[in-house]
Amino acid sequence: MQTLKIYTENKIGVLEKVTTVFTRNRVNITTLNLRANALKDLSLICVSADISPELALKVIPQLKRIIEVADAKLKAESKL
Amino acid sequence: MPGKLAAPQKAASPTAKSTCTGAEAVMRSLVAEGVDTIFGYPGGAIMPIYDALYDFNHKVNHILVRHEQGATHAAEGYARASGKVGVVFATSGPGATNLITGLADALMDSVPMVCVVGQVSSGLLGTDAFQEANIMSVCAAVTKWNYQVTDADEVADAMAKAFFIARSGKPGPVVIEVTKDAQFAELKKSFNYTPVIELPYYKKEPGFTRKKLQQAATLLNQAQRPLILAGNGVGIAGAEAALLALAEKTGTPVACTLHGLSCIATSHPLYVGMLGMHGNYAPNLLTNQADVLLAIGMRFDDRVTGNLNFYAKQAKVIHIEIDPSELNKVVKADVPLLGDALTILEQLTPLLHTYSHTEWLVEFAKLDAQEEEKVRRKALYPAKVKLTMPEVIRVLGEQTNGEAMVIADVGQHQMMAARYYPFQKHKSYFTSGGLGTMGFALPAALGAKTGAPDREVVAVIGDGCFQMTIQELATIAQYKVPVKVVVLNNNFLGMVRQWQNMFFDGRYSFVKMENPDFAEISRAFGINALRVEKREELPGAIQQMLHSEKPFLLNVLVENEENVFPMMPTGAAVDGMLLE
Repeated sequence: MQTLKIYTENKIGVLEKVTTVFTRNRVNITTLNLRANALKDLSLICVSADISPELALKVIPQLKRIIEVADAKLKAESKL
Repeated sequence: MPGKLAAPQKAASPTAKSTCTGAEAVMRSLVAEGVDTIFGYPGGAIMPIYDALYDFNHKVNHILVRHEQGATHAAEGYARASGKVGVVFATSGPGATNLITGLADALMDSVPMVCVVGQVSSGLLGTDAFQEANIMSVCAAVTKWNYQVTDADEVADAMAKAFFIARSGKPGPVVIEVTKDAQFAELKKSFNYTPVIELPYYKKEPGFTRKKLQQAATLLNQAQRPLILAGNGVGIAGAEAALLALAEKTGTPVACTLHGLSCIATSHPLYVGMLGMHGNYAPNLLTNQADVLLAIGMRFDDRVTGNLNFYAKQAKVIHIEIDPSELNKVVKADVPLLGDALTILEQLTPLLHTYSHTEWLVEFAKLDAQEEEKVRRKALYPAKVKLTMPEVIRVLGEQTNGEAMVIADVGQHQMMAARYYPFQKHKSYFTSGGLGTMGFALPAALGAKTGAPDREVVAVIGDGCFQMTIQELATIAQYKVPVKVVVLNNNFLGMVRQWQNMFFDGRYSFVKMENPDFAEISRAFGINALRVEKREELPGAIQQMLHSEKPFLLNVLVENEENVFPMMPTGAAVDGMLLE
């Protein structure tokens, strides 16, 4: 199980852009939590999925490619 | 410019108005960005913007395409030929959904594009109103960025952000959707367009360290069998001269991906051919013998690598790439260099030793001689009764001195044009490489000629592809865009037929096409055309086409069942290419 912490701008449609990346990589999300304005006016999206660390590391740069994503990391290394 | 709308009769200067609607703000934003050309198609939800366009007709050339997909490919051709951002207008619902293929195409091939689409009024969103579709969701997977504007005061900022995102970093398509009420509404503030130069969380150009640069230099200075893999990023960055300087200083052979073609002249002694499934024999085989691969602005597409389990395992890989998500996605980079290809090459070359790799180049020459004997000679100078695709490309290359801009569609003719056109000028081969969109070439050629009017633009199209966007002949005729079109007509979906022939026991399943006479069709659209069937007719027909100052089409009837070789079958390694 891997948990990703994704910091995004708090805008309409950003969650959909984020989940599209998981869909494309055929990742089934088991837990999803979104908290608006969690930090510096950013939303924090926590996503857990039963995937390998390798796949998580492949997904992260694709998440970062989303314009509204400020950062994305595996939970253990999240420090933003 | 030819074909523009008549000048407005009673329109006051838009800039003289004290008020401004959202629709006018769209147009003012485009003018502020220096946009000179829009490819579009009007409809109900974008009518206020088209009404505003009427007042800006003297500043912006709008080309009315015949299908919104055509607008996207035309904008791609325009962008790639001119280096500017391609701009598209479309209405809501089906107008916007018709953009999807072109958006996906532009995303895959890193083409900067801004599409402004209409939407029903904000009060009707989510009600299944007439021509309402959830375009923001539909576009999420095929755009670099998209945004819905429901407030006229947001238009300028959204447009500025759109252009910045489309053209910066790894370029890509952006959709700005403007609801109809936002188009009609007057701005509460005065119009103010401030170009965007940075965004809080978007890195247009990730950095590389001096340490990584030195590591790359060390690898290259120690290499005995280096090979440059030049991709799309070279042309996008305008790094052709920097690439040549590095290659010539270090004596390193250069192989190009499909999108990298023409970033170095095919006649240059260090050019060793095209990579990939139907590329040249030598660079594919020797990828697996190189000790250092310098990959520049390419993403190790599966068509280039073949079977990854056997791809360049012996080589150290230096990967110059602007998109962090491309690094280590397919092939692990020993030295990743994140950034713009031009910037990196200009800093890398001074660190490199002057060298020549004569023996290594001889190995390319030996393999190339095999391809020449077994494939090229027979293809270019066939003994067959009917014309063949390679010889048509050969004659085209001879008569244009390799200086035309070739816009190829998708299939056998695409590979033949890529393999056999003798590119001498940069930015001369544009095709749908990533998505492989049949129907790309005709509208893309229209856009390319509009964006680079001084270049000879020749579209090379198969009979299947041609009929996917054939309606754009009307656009070409209406705006008198002197595009030259060569239809290589084999009455087959040739590439699918080749695969059925080679890998499906010759069971030709729905690949035969009974076509109309494309020359007659073309003439009906008002475009001069010739049907070419005999070998002795070909040079004169191509000459007549090239000498024409108007658009011109050749319907060339070629061998029905010709196969493209060499070929890397699915699952094969790069050194498993078949010569016949």
